[in-house]
Amino acid sequence: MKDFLRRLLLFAVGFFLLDKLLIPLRDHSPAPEMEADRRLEYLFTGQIRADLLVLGSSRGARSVIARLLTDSLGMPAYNLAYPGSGLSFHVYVLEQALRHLSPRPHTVVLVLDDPMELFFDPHLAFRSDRLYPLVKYRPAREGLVVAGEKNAVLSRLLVSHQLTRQYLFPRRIPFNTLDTLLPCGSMPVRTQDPKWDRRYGPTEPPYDPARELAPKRRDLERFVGLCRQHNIRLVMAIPPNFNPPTRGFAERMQALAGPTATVFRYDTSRVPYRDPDFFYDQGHVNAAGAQLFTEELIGYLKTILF
Amino acid sequence: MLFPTLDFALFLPTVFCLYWFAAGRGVRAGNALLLAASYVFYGWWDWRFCALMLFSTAVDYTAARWLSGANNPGHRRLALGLSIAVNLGLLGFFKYANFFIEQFAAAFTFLGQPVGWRSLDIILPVGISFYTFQTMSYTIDVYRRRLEASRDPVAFAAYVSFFPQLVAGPIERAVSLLPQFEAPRRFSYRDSVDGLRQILWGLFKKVVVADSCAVFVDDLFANPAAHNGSALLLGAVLFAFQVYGDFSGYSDIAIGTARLFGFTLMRNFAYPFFSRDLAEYWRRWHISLSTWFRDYVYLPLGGSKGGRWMSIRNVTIVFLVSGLWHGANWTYILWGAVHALLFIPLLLMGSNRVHLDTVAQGRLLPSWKEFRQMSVTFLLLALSLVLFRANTLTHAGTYFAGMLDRSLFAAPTAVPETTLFFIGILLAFEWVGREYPHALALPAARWPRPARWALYYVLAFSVVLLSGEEKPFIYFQF
Repeated sequence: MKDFLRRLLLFAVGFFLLDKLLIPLRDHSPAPEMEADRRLEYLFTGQIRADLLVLGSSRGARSVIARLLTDSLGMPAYNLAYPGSGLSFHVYVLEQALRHLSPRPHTVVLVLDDPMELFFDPHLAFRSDRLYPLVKYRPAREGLVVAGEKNAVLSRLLVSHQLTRQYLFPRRIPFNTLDTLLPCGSMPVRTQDPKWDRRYGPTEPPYDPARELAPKRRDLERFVGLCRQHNIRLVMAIPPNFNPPTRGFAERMQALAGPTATVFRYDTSRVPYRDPDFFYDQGHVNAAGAQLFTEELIGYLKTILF
Repeated sequence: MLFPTLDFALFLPTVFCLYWFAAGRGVRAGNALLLAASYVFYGWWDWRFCALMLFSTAVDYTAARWLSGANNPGHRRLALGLSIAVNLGLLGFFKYANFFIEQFAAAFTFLGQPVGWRSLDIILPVGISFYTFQTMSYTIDVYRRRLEASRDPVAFAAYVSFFPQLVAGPIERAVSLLPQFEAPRRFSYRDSVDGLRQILWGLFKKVVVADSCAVFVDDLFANPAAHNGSALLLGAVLFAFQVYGDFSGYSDIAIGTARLFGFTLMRNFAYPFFSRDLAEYWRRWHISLSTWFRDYVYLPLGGSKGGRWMSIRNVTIVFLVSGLWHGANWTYILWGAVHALLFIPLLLMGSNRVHLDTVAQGRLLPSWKEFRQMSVTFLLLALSLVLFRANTLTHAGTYFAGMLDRSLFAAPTAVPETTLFFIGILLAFEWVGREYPHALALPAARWPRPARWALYYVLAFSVVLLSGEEKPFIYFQF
C-alpha cells in the first residue's frame, strides 16, 4: 500500500511540475491574433476608451453605430455587443469593462431583444467561444469558469485545465459578410438575407412574464445593480425589428430595472421601420436602419445626458 | 456525483484510504464503510433517491430470506413474485408511467374518445434500471437455488449500492459479486495499479472522445436540415463513437475503481467495433445486460430449444425488451426491432456463433475480408443508432431523409478534425490491445517504464485539458 501511495504521489508531483511547463504555451499562442473580432482582447488589456458602452446581442451589434454616438454626443462610445449573446454574457462584459477600462464608462446602453430577453432562447447564450482563443488572459479563464466550462479550483491549480482545444489548434475562420466590424465595435450589415420573405410580422400576443427564466431575471438584476453601484447611467434600448413591438415588453423591463434605469423604444410610428429595405432580416435592421435608429437614440440620449 | 469531476477526484482517494483502514479491522467494517460511501455518492444527486434504493434493498433481502427458509413451492413462488413485482413496479412507475399514460391517451384520442390524462411529474432516479436488474437477479438466483440468501444485511446493502457500478453498471450477478462482499479482501498493488490504468483509459474515452463527439453530434441532430447527407452520415458515425466512449468509458472507470477496493467486476465491453457481424457485436457490447437478458428472459422463454420459430420469437422479445429497457420512447423500441431484424437472418443461417474468437488473432492487421465485415457491421450499427439518438420517430425520419439524398456523396458541410484525431488514437490503442482486458494493459505489459509513464501523462493531460463542463453519461438516463 505504501509503495502504491508513494508512486501515486510521485506521478501527481510529476504531473504538477510538467503542467507548469505549459505556461509558455499558454502565453505564446497565435490564437488571439487569428481572431477577426479582437474587441474582448482590447477590453482585457484596457485598450478601449469609452465613456459610453453599448452592450447586447446581435441587435445591439447591428442596430447601434457607436461612431455616430461619439460624433454627435461628443463622448467616446464603443460597441461591445456580441451576436448570439445573452444577459449572462452582458453581465460578464460589463464586469470586465468596470475592471479594465480607465476611466470607467459613465453610460451604458443595453440593447434588449424584444421579447426574448428573459425567455428561453438557445441563440442567446454565454459566448464561451469568444473566450477560447483568449485563455492567456486571466479574465477569459475566469469567464470560462463562470460559463461552467472549466472548474474553478482546477483552473487555478493547473495550466493544462486553463487551455482549450481552440487555443491549442487555432484556426482562422473564413470571413463572413455578417462579420463586418467597424473600429467603433459596431457590426452593421450592408446586405439582406436572401432567404427572407420581407413580410411584416403578425401581431404577437402580449408579453407573458410567466415565460421568464429566473436566472435571466437575476442576471438583469445584477446588471442593473452593477450600474447603480458604479453610478453608471443605464439606458435599455429596444431597437426595431420587422414585427410589431410586443405589448407590455418595455413596461415589464422598466418595472424590473427600477427607477435608476430608463427604457428607450424606437418610434413605432416611423414609416421606414415598415420598409423592408431598412432591414437585414425579420429580426435585424441593416446599416441604413441602424443609422436611423442610432440617430433616434442620440436624440433620446441628448435629452437625458445633457 | 459524476466520475470525471473534482468532487469524485476528492471522494475517491478519501474513501480509498478510509476503506483500507476499515477493511484492516474486518470485513464488516469495510462493508459498512463502502455502504456509507455509496449512499453519499448516490445521495449527491438527490438524497430522496437513497430512500428508494434502501426500500428496494430491504424488499429483496427479506424476499430472499423468506425464499431460502421456505420449502413450499407456492410460498417460494409467492416470495419471488413479490420481489419481482416490487422491482418492476418501481421501474415501471418511475420510468414508464408517463410513456404509457401518453400512449393510452393518444390511442383513446385516435379512437374518438379523448381523455384528459396528464403526464405525472416524476423524476427518474439515476441508475434505477441498473440496480433493479441487479437485485432481481439476486432473488431469481436464490429462487433457482444457485445462491444462498445473504445473512448479512450490511454486505447485501453494500452489494446493491456499490458505488463504482451503481448508476450505470456493469449489471453484476449476485453469484459473482455478493461472495466478494462476504470474503476478506486484501490490498493488491498489481490490481490497484492496473485499476488506475483502466480508470485513466475510461476517462480518456469519456472526456476526450465522447464529449468531443457530443459537440458535433448535438449540433447535427439539433438541426439536420442545415447539413448535407455526408455530414449527417458522419454525425451518425460519430454518435456511435460517442455512445461507445461514454458508456464503455464509464464501465472502465467503474471496473478500475472496484479493483482499487479489491473487487472484480465483470467485463462490459470487449472492443465491439471490431465485430465481424451483429451477433458478435452483441457478445461484445454491454455484455452484462446482454447476458442478463439471455439468462433471465431468453432462456426462461425456452431459448432455442423449441425450434426455429420459438427462437425467432424469443430473440425478437429480447431485443424489443432491451430497446424498452433503454428508455420509454418508440425510438428505442424501433431500435430494438431493427436489431432483431438484423440478427434473425444470422440465427436462421446458423451463423450467429461463427465469430467467437478475437478478430485477426495473433496478427497486426485484419484480412481484407475481416476489414470488410467489420466495416459493414459498424455501418449498420451507426445507422441504427440514429434511432437511439433521435428524440422522436419523426426526428429520426428527418435525419435519415437528410442523409439519404444526393448530398451523401458530396463533401461534408462540417468535419471535426480534432475529434477524428482523438477517435484515431482510440481505435489504434484498442486495435493493438484487443486481446487484453483493456487497451492500456498492453503498454503496461510490454512498454518500458519511461514510455509507459509518458503515455499516462499524455492521457492525463488530455483529460484535464478537455474536462470542465459536467456532461452526464448518456446511460445515466436509462
